[in-house]
Amino acid sequence: MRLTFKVEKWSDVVAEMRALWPLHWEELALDKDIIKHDMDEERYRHMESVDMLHIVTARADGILVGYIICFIVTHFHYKSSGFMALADMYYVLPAYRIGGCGAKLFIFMESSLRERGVVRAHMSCKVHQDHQALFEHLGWEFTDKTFSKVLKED
Amino acid sequence: MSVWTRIFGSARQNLKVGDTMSVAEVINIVKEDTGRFDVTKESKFTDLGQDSLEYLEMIVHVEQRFGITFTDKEAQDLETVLDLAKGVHDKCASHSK
Repeated sequence: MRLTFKVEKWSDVVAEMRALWPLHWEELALDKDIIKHDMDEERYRHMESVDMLHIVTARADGILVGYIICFIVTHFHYKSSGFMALADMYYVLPAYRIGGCGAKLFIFMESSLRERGVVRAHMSCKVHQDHQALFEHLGWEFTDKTFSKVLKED
Repeated sequence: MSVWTRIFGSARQNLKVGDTMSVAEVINIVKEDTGRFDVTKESKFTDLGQDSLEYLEMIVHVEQRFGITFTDKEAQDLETVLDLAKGVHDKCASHSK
């Protein structure tokens, strides 16, 4: 099996990503009974059209097995500092979490963001699937804690 | 002909005496880290069952053993144990110059 990593356009890879989303959602999402999976593909297309989307993919023998999606923005607080990448989501199929596939995907993402001129990237992970050790191994700094609360009432 | 020369050919001349064992040592490190005894220089990391953290820790173990450092890009490009051993060879050779 040969792993390859590359930057891809939403429009080129979305059809393949659709097949992975249900698995991604099932494994990672919270409060599934209230918050339903419903990708706003039109909005992603718009983000791509205004050059605010960055997608890197992992392929095994050409087959899509993982992806990282980031939004590329100038930060509200640091407008003049340059582009920043905000993680939207990332996923690698369980069967391909081998051979450093995930780590290699993140290493590739980092270099591709740097080539794009991004000065800082923000990444997060779920508490129930904690990747802190991996991120820190790759030189990422633990800087924030995120909290969420379902506000919808029955 | 030594194992090292068969693998790396004339580049062998750049190595220190102790480096002839480095392929075997790299294999041993991979064996220890993966808990597998069937590791060969042809083994692909995707076949060894390591997750990402285990893979990176293995790279660190190799770096510590040989006193070298792999860049992230180099770590990303490694596919086989032989790739890793070649990386060790190249870095040891450049250190010895």
